[in-house]
Amino acid sequence: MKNDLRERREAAGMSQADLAAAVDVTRQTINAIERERYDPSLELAFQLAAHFECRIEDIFTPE
Amino acid sequence: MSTTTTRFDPGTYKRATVGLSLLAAVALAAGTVLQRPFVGIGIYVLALGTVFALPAVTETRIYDERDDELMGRASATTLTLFGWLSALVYPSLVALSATGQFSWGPASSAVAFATAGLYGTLGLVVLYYRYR
Repeated sequence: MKNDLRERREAAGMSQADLAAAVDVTRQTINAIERERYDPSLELAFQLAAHFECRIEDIFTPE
Repeated sequence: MSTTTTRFDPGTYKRATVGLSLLAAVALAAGTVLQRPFVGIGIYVLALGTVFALPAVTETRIYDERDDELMGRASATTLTLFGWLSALVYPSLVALSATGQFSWGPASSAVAFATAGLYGTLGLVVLYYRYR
């Protein structure tokens, strides 16, 4: 699924490890989501949206 | 009271897990072959015990939902592969047995029953998750 997670993370001045720690997943998972090789669970998508104070559909766009 | 924890690199932990799991399997097999079963079992228990203990002593997030999904897909693929192979192999063996070109021995019977047990268990687990 297309997403702008990398742009949002970099705009927030966070590393992948920082974001991973904030939403309690591994850095590899954040990396895989950013590279669009993994679609997060609904739970993780909500956590990411809450972290960036936006809606899930602001981050993720169905192809 | 505070507890001391160590930070492991997840990659290092995963490599250690694979290495220790292989060591456990090899130790069990070698112990059997070399007629030192309790030495093999001892190494097996130590190696696997270390594998299960490591996550408890690290603050680092090692496995997450992505690992769960990967394991689920790998398990499903493995079961499907073995399912299709079983669907081809066992009827063939039954046919060969009926024509006298194959006879069921203890090993082949054990594998057949183990396979049936595996898929029977899978069916029960599916029913459990469907109706729980």
